[in-house]
Amino acid sequence: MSNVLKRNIRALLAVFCLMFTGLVVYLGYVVVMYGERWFISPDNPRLRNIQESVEAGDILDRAGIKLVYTSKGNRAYIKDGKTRKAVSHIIGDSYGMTYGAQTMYAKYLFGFNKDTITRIIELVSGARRRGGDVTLTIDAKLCKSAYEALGGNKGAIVVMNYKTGEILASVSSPVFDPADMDVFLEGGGESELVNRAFSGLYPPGSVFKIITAAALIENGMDGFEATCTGSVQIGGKTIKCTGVHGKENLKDALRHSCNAYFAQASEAVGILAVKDMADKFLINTELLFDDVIMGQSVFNTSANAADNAWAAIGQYHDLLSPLHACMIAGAIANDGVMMEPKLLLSVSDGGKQTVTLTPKTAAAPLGDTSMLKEMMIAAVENGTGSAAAIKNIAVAGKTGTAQVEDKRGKAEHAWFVGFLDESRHPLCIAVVLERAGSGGKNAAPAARKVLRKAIELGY
Amino acid sequence: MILERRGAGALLALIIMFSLSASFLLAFKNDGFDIGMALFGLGFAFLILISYNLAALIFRHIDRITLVICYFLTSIGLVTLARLNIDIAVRQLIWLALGTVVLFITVVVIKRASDFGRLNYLLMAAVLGLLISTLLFARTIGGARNWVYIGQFSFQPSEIAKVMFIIVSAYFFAERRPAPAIVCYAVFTALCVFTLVLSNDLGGALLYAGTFLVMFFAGTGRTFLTFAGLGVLSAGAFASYHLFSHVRTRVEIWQNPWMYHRTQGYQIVQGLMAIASGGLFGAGLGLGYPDAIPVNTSDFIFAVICEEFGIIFGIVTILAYLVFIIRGLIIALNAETRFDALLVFGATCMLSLQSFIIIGGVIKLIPLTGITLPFISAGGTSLVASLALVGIIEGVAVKNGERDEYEIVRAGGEVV
Repeated sequence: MSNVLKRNIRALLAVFCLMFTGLVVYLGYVVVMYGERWFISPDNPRLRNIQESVEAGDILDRAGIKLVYTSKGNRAYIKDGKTRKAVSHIIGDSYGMTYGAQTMYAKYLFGFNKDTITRIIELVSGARRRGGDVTLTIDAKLCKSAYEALGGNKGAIVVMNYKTGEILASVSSPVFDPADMDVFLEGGGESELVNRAFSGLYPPGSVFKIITAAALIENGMDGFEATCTGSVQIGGKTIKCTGVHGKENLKDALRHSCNAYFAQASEAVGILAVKDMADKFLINTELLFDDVIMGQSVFNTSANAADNAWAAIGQYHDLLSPLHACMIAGAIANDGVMMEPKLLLSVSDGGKQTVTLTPKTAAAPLGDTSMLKEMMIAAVENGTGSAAAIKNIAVAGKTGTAQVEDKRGKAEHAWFVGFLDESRHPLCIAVVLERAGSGGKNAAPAARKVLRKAIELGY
Repeated sequence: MILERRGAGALLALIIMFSLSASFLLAFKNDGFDIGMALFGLGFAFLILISYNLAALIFRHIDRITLVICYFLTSIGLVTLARLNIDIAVRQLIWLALGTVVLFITVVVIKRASDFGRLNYLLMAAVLGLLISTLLFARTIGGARNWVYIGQFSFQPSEIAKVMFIIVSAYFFAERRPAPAIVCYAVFTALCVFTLVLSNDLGGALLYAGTFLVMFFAGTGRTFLTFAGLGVLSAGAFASYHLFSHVRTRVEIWQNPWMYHRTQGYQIVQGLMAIASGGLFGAGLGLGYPDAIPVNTSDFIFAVICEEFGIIFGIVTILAYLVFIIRGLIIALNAETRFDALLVFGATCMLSLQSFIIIGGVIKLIPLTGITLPFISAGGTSLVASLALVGIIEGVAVKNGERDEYEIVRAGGEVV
């Protein structure tokens, strides 16, 4: 037999070895990376199936209030209707229709996390199995107060501890009632089931100026000055401003939330520097966190200078989820260290704690953020965010009024993103009120209410 | 010099133990003892044991490892099928018995044949006939895309055609053929692939085209032309992506099945969930929820295996295919003539490409194209065809062995 044929067969043997090794490696990789995510998918019939043979554990808030429990074989929820609705997206439903705790933490609630030997012993002993009790990081009282602060608007509020990443409150409106899912089981509703706080992607509007400002500081351009005449021409298009701010520096521009300044500044520093900074804040990144499933935030550049200027002030294709906005504020507050959002405080199995929260960082440190902090404090002390100010507390923040246009017509989403520069109250917050108008007038007061409640509760 | 033919007895014993314990486990699953299930287990353990020993007795030089791996994969299939649907499993067992006979016959035929000469043109006509009959008759019946029904009896012509396709291809690449013959073969291959695409059997089309390409490369050694062929294949794939909406849908589903999780992506999403639910060691035989997985007895059987036996066992299954390939190609390298080498090479490549296409599709490494998992999936024609391909490989192995024996004995050695 010819040597050429032998050589070719050997070559293809190598190719086949590579292909099948590829199968093995890929299988291992996807299961490790995404396995849990696939398993907890709302469409997984196994989650529904297991409920017949295992009694699910309780879900409690951080203060020990029982939010979900099993009563006479059925899932029961906290009696207080307002609290139940406020935490609805966090606890989720028992039919696996949402990514709430009942789906996300099913493996603890139904005891899937127990090791093989324990499971075999339980199976043989024939005792009715019971899963573990899950304690969440949220405070139900704070959630209720955040739900009230939304004031009937659609939108979301997230409050986090920026040192540990614990989510203390997260509400999304419209809410649903996990105790009465008939409408959804019959195929009605839908938008109520979306957790806007984690999965909702909104144009950030002026909130994004925090990132553009960070890009300027990073590139040594914090001394950049520009003049605002009420509008500016870029790429042949007019970018309007909310007022005529005259000659201003970065700090004043952020305080006024001046479009003209940031449009010019982004041109000066270059859109790629802004994109670079956005990437550092994990925008455009698929975030695979242990405890929460988040929408992926977006920042795109364009070949067109006008589009880029709009992108630098939070319009164009920019999208941000409220949770991500809250993490960005937290990173600035926490001296450049962004923490991974955490929702699972602990799991206990028969009185024994099997899982406890370990804080994790979400991104590489951003470097010194003291200048940004100072500017965001100024924006609340004497700027667009003044409605968020709290007496004797250092509140920092940035407002946003994001323009949207869809089939319902033109409108503005009101944003407020901020934090407390207080070591005893390490709180950061993001508020989005859909189609509610100005961020400074509507979102900032809501943030104030929630932050005051959080301080009162001792966080 | 002494040549010793090692048996694979230890491996065989392991397979028998696996089969027996699995079927007894299934027999005890519900209240009481399912005697039918136990008998099924005993039956197929017995069949495997007999077939293996008979094969080793009749063909002294048969490659034991290849045979054992083939039975290992078959027993995984039988156990999984018994768990899903005992009727299908019993039918599969009957097919296994029949397939084993076909395997033996193929070994004898291949052992005797040098090449099939003019008979190849008849084979070509038969292949085209089978594929075109699928296109014509399967369409009128509707439903499953590559099944032809004759009365109660249903079969997949494209599976039978596979075996002949390998023989024909080996013949044409074995030596330099006259130009008209080459053209004839090229047109034949193109027609095969085209017919399969028209019958919407994309997995089959990919398999035929892929096997042709690797055999072309091995046979001619023309790297440039092979890559050109790969280019034509990609261009064809690209064109069909733009021409046919069902091809486009497949690719979109592959990119993000979760977006279509309740519609066209349902199958793959359910498969992925099943794989994820099993974890490393699996839910345990009979303790998973494979009813949720569509086509769980054929295309998606790998997901069922991963769910109940665990990811590690899934990886072992993939590695078993790899060992099978390595053994096959070693036999090809030992072959005396180019025809024999290409025959084994083609048969091995076809089986390995087929398993790669479907496992890769189920775990979302490549777009999903429906095709059976060789030796494991339910389906009589598929199992018999796969065993016939093993027969081709073993036939050449026996030929090699007899040649070696002759040379050793002539040199004064002995074969044990």
